[in-house]
Amino acid sequence: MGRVGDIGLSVLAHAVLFGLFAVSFQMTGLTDQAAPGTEQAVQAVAIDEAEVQQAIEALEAEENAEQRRREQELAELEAERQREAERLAAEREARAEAERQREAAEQARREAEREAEAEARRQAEAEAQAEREREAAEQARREAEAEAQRQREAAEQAEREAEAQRQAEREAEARRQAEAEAEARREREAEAQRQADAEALRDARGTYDAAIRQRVEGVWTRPAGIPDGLSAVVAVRLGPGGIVLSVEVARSSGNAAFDRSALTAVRRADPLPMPDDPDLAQPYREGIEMIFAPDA
Amino acid sequence: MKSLIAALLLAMLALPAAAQVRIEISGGEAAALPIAIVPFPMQDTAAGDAPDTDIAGIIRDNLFRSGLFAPLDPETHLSQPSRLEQVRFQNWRALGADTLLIGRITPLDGDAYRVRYELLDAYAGERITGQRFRVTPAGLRNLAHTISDQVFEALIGRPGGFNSRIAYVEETGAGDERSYRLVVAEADGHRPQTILTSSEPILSPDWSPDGERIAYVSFESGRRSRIYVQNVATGEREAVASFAGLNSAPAWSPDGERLAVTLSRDGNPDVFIIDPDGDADPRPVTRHFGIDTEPAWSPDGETIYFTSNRGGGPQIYRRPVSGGDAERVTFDGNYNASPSVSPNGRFLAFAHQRGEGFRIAILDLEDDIMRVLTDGPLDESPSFSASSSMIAYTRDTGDATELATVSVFGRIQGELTPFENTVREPDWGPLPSAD
Repeated sequence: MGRVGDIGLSVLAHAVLFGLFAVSFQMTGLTDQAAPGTEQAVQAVAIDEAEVQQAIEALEAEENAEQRRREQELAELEAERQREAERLAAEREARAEAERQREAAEQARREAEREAEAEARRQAEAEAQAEREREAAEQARREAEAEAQRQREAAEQAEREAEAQRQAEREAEARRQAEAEAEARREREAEAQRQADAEALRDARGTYDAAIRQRVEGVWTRPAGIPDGLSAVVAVRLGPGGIVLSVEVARSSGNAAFDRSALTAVRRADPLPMPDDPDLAQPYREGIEMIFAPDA
Repeated sequence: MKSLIAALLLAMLALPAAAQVRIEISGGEAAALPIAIVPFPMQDTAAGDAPDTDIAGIIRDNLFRSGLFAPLDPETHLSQPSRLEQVRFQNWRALGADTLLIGRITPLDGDAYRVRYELLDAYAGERITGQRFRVTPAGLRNLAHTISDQVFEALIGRPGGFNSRIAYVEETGAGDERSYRLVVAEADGHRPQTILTSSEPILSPDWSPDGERIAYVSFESGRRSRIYVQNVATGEREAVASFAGLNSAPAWSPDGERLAVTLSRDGNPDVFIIDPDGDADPRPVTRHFGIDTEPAWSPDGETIYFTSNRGGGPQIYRRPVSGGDAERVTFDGNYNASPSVSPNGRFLAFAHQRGEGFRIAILDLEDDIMRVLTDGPLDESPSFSASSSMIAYTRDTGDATELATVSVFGRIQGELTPFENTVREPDWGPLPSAD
């Protein structure tokens, strides 16, 4: 008997425990769980019923006990099964939990990995960016350098060209100068020649001018008693041999008698002295202006 | 290159001017113009006798006396053309004539003549001027003067004044028979007309500028001098100054509105201006203790020249009519008197004593140069002609004094006409009025 009682007690205890466990489990939910199969010592209270009855009751008790035991066993079985199921469920749950946790961990890991990857990517990107910028800077530097170089070269080229131009201009100027001097020399010579010619012409002309003047003055008589300070210009055209082709008043003195005396003087002097040389005679034939001014 | 172009341009510009020969004629000679004055022939002798008046001769004398013409001696003429187409200009040029005057006389019905003349330029071979007239025989002398005037004006450029007249005083007889006549004659002395006769002296005739009146001094009323103004044509006259003392030497102002006279009413002879009507009070021009007399107006009427002895001997002074200081004008010689101003304002003529004699001299008022024109020994009373080219004066012939002229230029002296008697104080009248 002890043993049966123990068993009963044990079952009871189990039940209670179980119930408690269930409740506790219920209540605790997903908490840290003990490893399956482990039992914990439970404090039980021993009930002491009358010993006399104990014998009948013992039999009945036996029977009951047997019954109970079977039931107990059944219950235990059931409980066992239940527990097994629960354990299984718990295991499943745990596994699921674990799975979940694993998955979560996995997730987290993946997350972390993604994060890391992203970070790495960002890093890489930043590095790439930095690299690109470095490259760009480098490129720019190179380009600037190249540009500077080009400009230096262009400047040098321009300077060379300018120098060449200056040189060309200096040469051209020198040439011009030389030409101008030559030209000036030619001009001076030509001018000297012209002056010599003109002088010769003037000399010749002067001779004839003087002869004409003398001739006309010698025959010019004008009325006395007309106002002083008169002067008239008379235009004379001469033909071959100095004959007077025409004579007319080009600018009147304002005094008809004075004008007439000038015209008469020219006609009296007809023919006028005239060069034989046709070239020399030409200006005389083109027209003579005589300014009659007695007081000049 | 630029300078070359400039030089070329310059040369091109200078070329025509250089080709034009310019000759300055100076000097020459102011001289009498040689002119041939061909006698004017009668065209139709059958129709009547040729007039006695020698038109060409009168013109020749007139022009000669002016001193500005040297007429050829008609004896030297080679031909006597009377029409332009008959003239061979080279012949006249060969004779030395610059100009040629031809003309002809055609008798008309009714005792008249047609006279035509042409003035020709012998060198240009051109007609200068010419005109045709119808005249009576009595008008022929005047016509000769008119043609003289036209020739003179055409060739000299100003009026000749040959148709002007001369007034003078003629003295005849002796003792109680002595008589004085105021005479008006043609400018050449011909055709004298007496407009006043008096037994007492007549002095200082002076033509009014319009030629209608003569102012003179007469002593006819009781041997006292009076100034009269007489109309030449009508003989009407009026005494315009008969103040106490001397009334003498009238001279018309150029505008004919006033007379300058010498009065001694205040005791001493001074020059006054009076009204030709004798109405207004005399206005003194000079006030000096010396004798101021013989006033003569400048042609602009602003100055009066006069003779004064204020400096000792007689000299000519002038004074603005509007007032101001008298200024001595003549300085050469110790006797200069009887001023006459030429109508052109250029000359002052006066009697000038040189050595023993008196001569006619002129002072050029522009350059202050004096020239003696006559030879004396006793030449007096100069009076300029209207043309300013001649001076009438009196000269002593020994027996008498006669009227003569001298030209300002060339000193051509001419006697106007032989006078048997003594003539004094000629006054050459103005140009005849245009009508």
